[in-house]
This record gives sequence, C-alpha cells and structure tokens, in this order.
Amino acid sequence: MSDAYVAGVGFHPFGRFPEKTLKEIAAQAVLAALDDSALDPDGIDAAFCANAYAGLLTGQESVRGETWLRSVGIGGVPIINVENACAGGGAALHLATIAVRSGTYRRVLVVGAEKMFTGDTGRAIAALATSSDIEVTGGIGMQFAAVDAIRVKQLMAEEKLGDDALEWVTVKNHDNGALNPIAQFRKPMTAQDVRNSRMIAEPLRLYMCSAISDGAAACVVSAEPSRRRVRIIGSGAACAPVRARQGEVSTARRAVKKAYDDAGVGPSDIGVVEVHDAVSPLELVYYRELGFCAPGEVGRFVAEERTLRTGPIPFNPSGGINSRGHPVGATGIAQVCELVLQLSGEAGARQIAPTRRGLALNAGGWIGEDPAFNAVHILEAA
Amino acid sequence: MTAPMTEAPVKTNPHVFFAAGEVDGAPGLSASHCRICGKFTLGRVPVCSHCFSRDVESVAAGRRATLVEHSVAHHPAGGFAAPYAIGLIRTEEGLTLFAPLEGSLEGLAPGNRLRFVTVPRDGGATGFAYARG
Ligand SMILES: [Zn+2]
Repeated sequence: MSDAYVAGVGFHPFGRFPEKTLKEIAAQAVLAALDDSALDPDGIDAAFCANAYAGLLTGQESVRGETWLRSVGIGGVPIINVENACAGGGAALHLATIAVRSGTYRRVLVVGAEKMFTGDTGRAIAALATSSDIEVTGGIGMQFAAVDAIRVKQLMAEEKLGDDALEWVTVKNHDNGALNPIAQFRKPMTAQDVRNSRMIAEPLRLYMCSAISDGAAACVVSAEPSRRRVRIIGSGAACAPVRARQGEVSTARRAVKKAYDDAGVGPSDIGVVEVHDAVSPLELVYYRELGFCAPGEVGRFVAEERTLRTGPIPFNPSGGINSRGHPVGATGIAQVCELVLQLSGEAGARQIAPTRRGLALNAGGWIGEDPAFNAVHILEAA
Repeated sequence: MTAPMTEAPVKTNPHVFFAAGEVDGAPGLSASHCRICGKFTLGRVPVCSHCFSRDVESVAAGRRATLVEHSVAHHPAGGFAAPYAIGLIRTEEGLTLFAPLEGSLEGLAPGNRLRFVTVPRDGGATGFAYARG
C-alpha cells in the first residue's frame, strides 16, 4: 500500500463571478493546483470531480468533470464525477486517497467547483433543498436554514447556550475570513452587527448563514511527497444511520471514528480543525461530535475561547464556510487545502502557531435525522 | 388532436401521507407496519427498518405526535410565505420527520402535543401539517 500525500493545492476565489462560467472557475483552481504540484496536465493519472447543482443551475447535468478538465488539456485518463451534496468534495478526496493508497494511480487530481450565483437566490435555495429525500421533504417548506436552526436550538437547550455563543463564533470566523485572500466575506464584524442582522430562521440571523457562492478548489493527491511532505493519514466517511436499528451515533461520529482509527490518532493529537459551518453556530456542534469537548462542556469551551486562531485548538482558521463562502462542491477540498497551507506555514496573515496535524469535516445533505454524508480527513506534516 | 390536460397535483406529498378515505385510518402519514416486530417505518418500504423483515403492510399512522423542536422561517421557501413554522416531530409510533406546523407561531415549544391535519395548498393541492391540541 502506498502513502497518499497532498502534493499541491489551488483555488479560484469564492464569491460572485457572474461574468465567468463554471468551466472557467474550475480551470483556474486546477491550473493553480498543477502549478503548485510542479506538474503539467499530462502528469495526472486520474481525476475525481465534485459538483452538486450544475444540472439544475446551468443545465450541465452530466460529464461535468470531463468538460472542465478538457479546457486545461487533460484527457484520456479516467475522470470520475462525484456528487454527494455539499460533501462531494470530501467524498472525491476519500476516493482519491483510496485510489493512490491502492497503488492503482500515482497522481490523482481532485477538483470541486460550483456556480450557484445565477442572480436568483430562490433558485439556489431550491437547488439546495433537493439535497434531501425529496419525496419526504418536498412540499413542506423545507429549507436548510430551518433544519440547521432546529439542530442549533437542540444544542442550545442541551448545552445551556445563549445567543451570545452563536454571535461569538460568527465574529471569530469572520475575523479569520478577513485575512483569507480567497474568502467571499473579508470584513470583520462585531457581535452587535450579528445581532442587528435580520432573522432568517430563528435563532439564526443573516450573518450566521453562508451565502450563495461561486468558486473552486483543487489539489493533487500523490504517492510521492512534494516539498511540503503533508500526508493524508486518515480518511473516513459515513452516511446517515438508520436510527431505528443503528441508534444514536450520528453521521459525524461515525465518519470521524473511521478517520481517527485510520490515522491511529485521537482528538488530543490534532492541532487545527476545519468544520462544515454552513451556518456558523454548527461549529459548536462539532466541538462535541469530533471529541474535542465532553457533553455539557461546550459553554465552557466557548467562554475560554479555545478555538480562536490564536487559541489552543483553532477551528476554521480559513473563516469557515460562513465567511470563506460555500460553493458546495468545492468546500470539502477547500478545507483540506487550508489544512495543507496551515501545516506547512504558508497561510499568510491567518497562520496559526506551528502544529503537525489537522482535521477537516465536510457534511452534505439531510436524510432522516442526520446529515446525509460526512467525510473526515486527517493530515500530518512530516 | 388535443394533448391530454395534465391534472393538478392532488397531494403535495403523495409518498408521505394519505388523504381522508384513501386507506383505513386515513388521513395520516404513510407508514409501513411490520407484522413480525410490530414497529413502524416512515413511507411505503419493502423492509422493516427495525428488524429487516419483509412482512410489512402499508398503513396510515402519525395521527398524534410530539414536537421535538421547531424554527420559524423568515424567508419564503417552497411556496410557503414567511413567516412560517417548521417542526421536527415524533409520532406516537416513533416516526421522526420534519413537518409544517399549522396555527399560531406563538408558544410553540418542545413537548407540545400535535395532531395530523390536512390543509389546502397552492394550486388546489392538499397538503399535510401538524397542529397543536
Ligand atoms: Zn420489524
């Protein structure tokens, strides 16, 4: 079995780019990742491409990855399209890791790209709502902000949290995003700004919610280390449990256990975390779910500000989904690219204190009582 | 030749609920009752999600439920005008699902007793919801 390293990373900035096509957005991230890996397009053995909504929003329902990669001269190799709602990027990375570890391919390109801004927010929200069992959730006014709001209210009741905790994590992540050159929102805000923004789904306010974004992220997973020597030591994934028989262990707990077991490490070995804060307060859910604090301890974790960029266990130094932006197919790959930059000391103004290991959790969709799919990756710098 | 008219949808969620008169015990949620373990699974499914038995029958269920948690959405979606309430509910058979909440937005709280109701929706369709009491 080979090791799997991240040889290079690349982005197209996240935001609104009405003048660009999805293909152009994807291509920019791919070229940046190839340059960073010192590879030309012929250096790639295979590619996994993540996108969720091009079929609904641009009409390109199939062979999406083939269209993107042909524009940068990549052809003739297997190109596999991966869809798992907002976790397509993490799913593609999971497959690339397996492909390289197996020895089948030496250098695998992983790219996630999404173009969600069509000028009509309603269309994008309607597309997002299809990331659930539409037979069950169609026709009931289902929107992800309300689903996330219910999860946050349950956490607030269990952990005795007030609105101040939701505001704190929002301010923290916007402080980080302000320092990230690819972030959609690069303006710090105060708790008062958050509190004054309009209500979206109680208790979530506008500035707690991720916006509609275009963007792309790419990386090369390779059997050989690059100059950075950042290795994927853990890769785990799970779908929503059938709770009737499989009990209360959530999608996230299942995926993270597989990743910890794969890597042979636990939460105390991790120094930086990127999580799927589609609404910023969901970050608080993951403090527990990933094992960084015990049930009943989330309030103390927040009060001690442990997850600040300068704290003992920084969460979302990139700004997270909430301020970096959420072009959904790109998100899981962008999280891992951020870990690569942080672990190699190349994160610029948002650089955290030196640390060896980072963890990323990417979540997508909703089935039954849980996120439909989670992928967790653990990276280690030599 | 005239193309046949497409009929307006009769129910918003044909896979999720039965309207009055469709099956015994309707109106109510569409569920599968296991003849082996006696438990219920949401929707018409070929296998009991509790015991894997394939000896399941399609029934109406969920006439009574409890509110687990809810949120009031302030942005319209899916034909629902804001503000409206969406709930995570658990039926007396243990089925858990999201459902629209009918009635006042005031005083909704975990533990509220709910009952299944059918409501008129856009385009003359029949929808379902849960109401307190
Ligand atoms: Zn059974």
